[in-house]
Amino acid sequence: MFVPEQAILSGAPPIACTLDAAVEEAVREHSRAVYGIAFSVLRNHQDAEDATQDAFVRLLRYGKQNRLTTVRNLRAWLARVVWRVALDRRRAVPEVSLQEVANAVSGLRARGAGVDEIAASEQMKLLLGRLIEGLPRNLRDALTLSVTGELSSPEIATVLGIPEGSVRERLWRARRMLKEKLLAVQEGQSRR
Amino acid sequence: MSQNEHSRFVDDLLDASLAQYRSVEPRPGLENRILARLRTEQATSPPGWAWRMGAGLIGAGAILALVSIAYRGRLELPISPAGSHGPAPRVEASRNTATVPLAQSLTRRHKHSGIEQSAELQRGSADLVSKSAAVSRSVKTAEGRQQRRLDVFPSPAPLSQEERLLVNLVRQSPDGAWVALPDQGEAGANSRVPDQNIRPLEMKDLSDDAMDGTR
Repeated sequence: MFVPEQAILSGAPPIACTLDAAVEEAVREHSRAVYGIAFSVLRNHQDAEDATQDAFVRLLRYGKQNRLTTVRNLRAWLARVVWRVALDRRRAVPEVSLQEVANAVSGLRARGAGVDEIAASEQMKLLLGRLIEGLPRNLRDALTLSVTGELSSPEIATVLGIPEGSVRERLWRARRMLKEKLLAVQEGQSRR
Repeated sequence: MSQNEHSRFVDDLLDASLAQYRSVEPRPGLENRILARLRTEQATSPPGWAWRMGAGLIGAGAILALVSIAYRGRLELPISPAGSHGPAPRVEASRNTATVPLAQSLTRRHKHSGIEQSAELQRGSADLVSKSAAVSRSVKTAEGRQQRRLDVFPSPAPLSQEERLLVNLVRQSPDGAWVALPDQGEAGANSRVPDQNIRPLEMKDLSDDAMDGTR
């Protein structure tokens, strides 16, 4: 393989290793969104980054087969790919005692902490994660994709393969169910 | 805290928690790590045309294998000879049916004497002539078929020389053919059953009086 001397001296990658401009642009434009989706499923930085890289590798192979031109919405396509990769990599969620995290959140509130302070606490994140895990699968998937803040309702509908109206309805039901659960936890703590 | 205030607090807490839940910052250098991984992947994996060529070769090989298997199976099919729609005629059987009755009838007729023997011999000889003609026809037919289809087994055999001589003898002198048979001597003559003059049974013989006499 011929490698120009200037390329070696300048430290630039060899010609054979230069990426397709479309793939490189996709990485720069969508990597954060793809990472956010992966993290929303995996809740782990290392696993989320591995899933993100796998998604872009699939994009590279897709481009080698000259099929990239068939993709209409690259953002939705990447979201769908990384969603599936993340679900494949998903491990069992470590069991967290609902009672313990609920006690911790109640303690924060009793000490006069505000809503933002409680929401930013690690205990509240653990409690919310536990409550989301308890949701039905269809509601949990829609909510997980929504909380990333990276995808619109039509894009979520594309990823899940359902109508956009169903996405909105599921998000509404998921939020209502989360509120009921949170109220139940708060009431249980106040009765004690 | 009233019920409404508590509900509003939970609403606010849920919104804030969901907002915190989504705010995830990747570790610095995410894009560079992804690009480095993609370059490594591109350098190690074969180009797109290689994938397509490999797939095409595999497909062509599969088609060739299928065609060769089909062609080989066609060659191994048994080839039936042209015009053979049934079993080959067995001349051996028709020859036996012609010669065995000939000997049997000659032997049987030698036991009889006089005009009856002569008449019966004539009928038998005519019968034999027609049968021998049928045999010769079947032999000719079988020979013709044998020339056309050499793969018929067992191949039809013509009449032996003795059989031909016997047929010629019967054809030329049907009345004297029985002379050619071996003489059975006195044993043959003694074996003849003499004619018995037995009166036929009548109804009067079955009457009560006649029966009484027998009792």
